[in-house]
Amino acid sequence: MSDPFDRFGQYGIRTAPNGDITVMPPAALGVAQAHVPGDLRKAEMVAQVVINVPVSKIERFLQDVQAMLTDDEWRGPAEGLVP
Amino acid sequence: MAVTNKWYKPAFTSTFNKEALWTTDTVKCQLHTVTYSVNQDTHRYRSDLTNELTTAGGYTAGGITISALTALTGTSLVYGLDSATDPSWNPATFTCRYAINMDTTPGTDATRPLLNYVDFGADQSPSAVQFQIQWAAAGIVQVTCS
Repeated sequence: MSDPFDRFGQYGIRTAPNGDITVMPPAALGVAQAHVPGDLRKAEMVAQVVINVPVSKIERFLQDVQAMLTDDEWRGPAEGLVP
Repeated sequence: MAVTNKWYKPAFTSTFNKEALWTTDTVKCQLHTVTYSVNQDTHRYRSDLTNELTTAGGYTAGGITISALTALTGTSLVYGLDSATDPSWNPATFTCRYAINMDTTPGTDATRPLLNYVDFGADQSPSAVQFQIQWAAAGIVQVTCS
């Protein structure tokens, strides 16, 4: 017998000493896979932005935003950051 | 030079459309030369095939009947089709590259669905010896539901 055979020796082509040829193919495989619910949702695009800013500046910015959100002058009726 | 065996994708369309009844119809295995250009995605009927071996050297055009196919349902979530007939040509003197299975019961080649094809990986050229295809224990084709 001669190779080539796969590493498991199950499939391939065997040539007998008398020259007979035997082809041993694997089964043709198919997969029917159901979607999970999450796959059905449209993926949301995510943008990742990297900004080099000192932490102190970020803290100050967040404090200002917080102050605006809690300040009545900024939150006047139908105005400001939070309508 | 691996031997591969693949579904034709349209086999599912033909099956779901009730154009092929694999466990009752006549199913044949025929041999083709390397000049047949496989299209797994679109080849659906026998009329899509080209370059079958001609009648010579122990081969008869039209192939060998391997039906009836049997349904394999013993493994959970796996469905398969198998044949008790391993096609064999003896003595064979020809050169081939592909073996293709199809349902030949419908009336014309344009309506005879393809099932799968075996690519030998390289031309096979038996010379006055037996040329045989042994189907795997797992069957000719199978599909796993998950």
